[in-house]
Amino acid sequence: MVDMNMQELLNQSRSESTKQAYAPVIKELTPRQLKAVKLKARIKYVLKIINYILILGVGISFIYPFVWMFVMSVRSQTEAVLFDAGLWINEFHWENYVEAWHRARFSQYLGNSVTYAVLVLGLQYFFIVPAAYAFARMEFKGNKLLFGIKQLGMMLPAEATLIPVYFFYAKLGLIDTWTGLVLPSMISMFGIYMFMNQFKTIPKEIIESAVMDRAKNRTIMLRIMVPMIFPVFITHLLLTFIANWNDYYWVLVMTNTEALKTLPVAVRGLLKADGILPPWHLVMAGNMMQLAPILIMYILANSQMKRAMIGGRKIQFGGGEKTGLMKRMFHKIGQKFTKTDMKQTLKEVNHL
Amino acid sequence: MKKISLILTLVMVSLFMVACGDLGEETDGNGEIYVDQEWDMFDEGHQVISPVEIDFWSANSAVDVHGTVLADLVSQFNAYQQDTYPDSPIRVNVSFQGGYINQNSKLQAALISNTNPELAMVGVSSMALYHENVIDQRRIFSYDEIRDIYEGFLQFAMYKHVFVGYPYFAASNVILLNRTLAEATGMTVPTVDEILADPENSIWTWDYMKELGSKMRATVGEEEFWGLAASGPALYEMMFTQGVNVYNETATQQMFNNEYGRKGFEYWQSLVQEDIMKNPVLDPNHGTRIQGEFTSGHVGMLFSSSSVTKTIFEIVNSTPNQNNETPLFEMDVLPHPKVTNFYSNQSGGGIILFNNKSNARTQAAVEFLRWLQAPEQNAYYSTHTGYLASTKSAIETDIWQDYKAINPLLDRVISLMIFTTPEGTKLPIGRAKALADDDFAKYAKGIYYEDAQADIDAVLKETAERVQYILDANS
Repeated sequence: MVDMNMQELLNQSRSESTKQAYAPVIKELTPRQLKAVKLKARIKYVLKIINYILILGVGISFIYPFVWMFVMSVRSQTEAVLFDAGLWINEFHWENYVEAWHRARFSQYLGNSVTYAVLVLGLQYFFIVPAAYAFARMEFKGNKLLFGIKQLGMMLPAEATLIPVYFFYAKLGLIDTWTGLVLPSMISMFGIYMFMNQFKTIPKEIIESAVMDRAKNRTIMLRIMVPMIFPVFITHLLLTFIANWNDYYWVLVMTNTEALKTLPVAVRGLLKADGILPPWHLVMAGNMMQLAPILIMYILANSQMKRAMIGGRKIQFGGGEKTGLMKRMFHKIGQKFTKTDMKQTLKEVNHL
Repeated sequence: MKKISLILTLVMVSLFMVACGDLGEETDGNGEIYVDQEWDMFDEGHQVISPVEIDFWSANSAVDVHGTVLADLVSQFNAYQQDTYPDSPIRVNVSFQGGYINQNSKLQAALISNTNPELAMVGVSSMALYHENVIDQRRIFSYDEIRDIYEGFLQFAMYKHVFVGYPYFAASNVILLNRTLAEATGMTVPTVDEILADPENSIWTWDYMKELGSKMRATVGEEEFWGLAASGPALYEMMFTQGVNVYNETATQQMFNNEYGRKGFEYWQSLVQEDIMKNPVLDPNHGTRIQGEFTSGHVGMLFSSSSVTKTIFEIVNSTPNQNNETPLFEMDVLPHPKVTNFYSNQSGGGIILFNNKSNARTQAAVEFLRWLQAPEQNAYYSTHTGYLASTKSAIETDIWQDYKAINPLLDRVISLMIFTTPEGTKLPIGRAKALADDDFAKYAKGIYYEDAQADIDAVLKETAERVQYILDANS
């Protein structure tokens, strides 16, 4: 009997606690507290707007040079020479692009730029991926020393090593050859470093299980590790393309004839196209044309790049799905018109 | 540990001794170009007996106007050789290195590896770098041919008794003048011809220029008109127009930390203080902006390299004025004004011929260089690029005379190249230009800080110490 009563009591208590757990908690707020809550929400909203204004400001400061470059590229020579920082265009001179194309001999140098970028992109992974794998996952004598030497090379500016490198290349007969041009990119420390770090993030257990299945290093590297770091692979590909597409100094130094020179060298030559006074309208038109492939690539693959830059994670600012700024603003405006009367709300709460 | 310390000490001591050692720097100056000596001249005419290919490095770019005109001249030479000597033509391969600094580094490396070209275009400030690697130009050009070159273009050609480079890509520093604006002031503005006719009694002095600049300064509505514009004090012009040295001849000692330097700095600072000149430290890209402002008629006088003269003249001439008539204004050139002397500084470059090539290649290079400096080629290059023709015979050619009828300004600049260093002064070796002039320009701008109220003595002292440090470190 007692047990029965106990059981009933227990059930009753359970059902009550369950009820309470799922019942909405209505905290009674004083009008002052409510005001404070509302003020806090408003401050938060204002801060958000300030935040967006700041982001917009930073964004504009990044975009402005490109827009200005475009504006300069369609100005007349007389206007361009004034070097006006404004964005006003009196008259569009699209013919600047045609003239820059002819003066900088784009059709000749464009081919060289494409060849250079494609050669580097096509060949470098044969060297840097195995090297990165070896540094990350293999133990051999002189590992640290080799890595240190390679790192040291990365720290030295190209200008500092120019004379010995040129001497060495000249002795090997590599000046003015495609081999000479692409050779340093084949063993790029940046690439090795990037892949090595990514290889190190792959759990050891995966490799150990592959080893237990008698997989060789080549299989582990190509079939397991490379697919796992695919976003980094894409990022490296894009970064290498951009770097090689814009490469000026190395190409200038390692080539003598025009047969191998690339677009950046030609576009820079436009600075003196009319003498010592730079024809800025042509220089900027040339720059815009040189930039075009990079801008297109960036627009097409920017999310991929950003993901890879932060370690392959999906980008979520503040977590969860977010609606756009405009949508949220409209939502807020809509809320204004359906604003709840505070007194009415308080009455309703008290009534409950 | 002891061993390591000992080795390190030894290394440090030996490095210290090397640093303090006498590098055998000659102190007897650079010598005179016109020495009474029989030179072992290269034979005249076509001396090669089989086809020869030689290389010529230009510091310009292949797509700029200097590069394209040079490539054009080289093509003309190659075609001429092929037609005239079909069995033993000389072929010149011109390659473009995109800038003096980059080319200098490449040349240094190429000389070590013996892969240098036969000929190279080198800046006047870098001539000294190559004096041991070149053929003296007096073995290529006769006494009369050298006398044909304007004196002002030979200022930096000599180093340690070697005539290093033939002046070809020549330029000078001048004042570009908006004569329309200047004459509107009612003041008499001299012409180059008037100055050349009687330099002793010329009215074109520092004080006169300041007065003219002051009268040209105006504000009309939102438009500002400046008397003059410059990037800062011009060192060589500032000192030589006062009849005093800038450095000693071997460029081991600065010589402007004195009353003359002070006077120069005072003058340049007063131009901004008195609102005649735009303060050069207030806006970025000042050099480019003032070129634009001069071109649009908002600057009366522009301190500039002569190499922009051709382009600016062409823009001004094709731009209509308020009455829809061209030119926008009448443009002219003037020398830097004098205190006691006029002085035309040399800039630009020259051509050097290396001495480590085979006899046939050297002979071919000599033939090409002689062809290139011939009056017609010299005038052709100048009229198409804006560089200055360097010989008197070049400005007698039809090409030059025809061009002079359209644009007389380059001719006027060249005629000013008779104003070399004043008597009693010595021009330093060109190396000083490369080493210390940039630092001078940077530090001298200190006079314009604090709204052009900076202490002149402090700026002068700091500038002189910096320049001396650079000279000491490189002596």
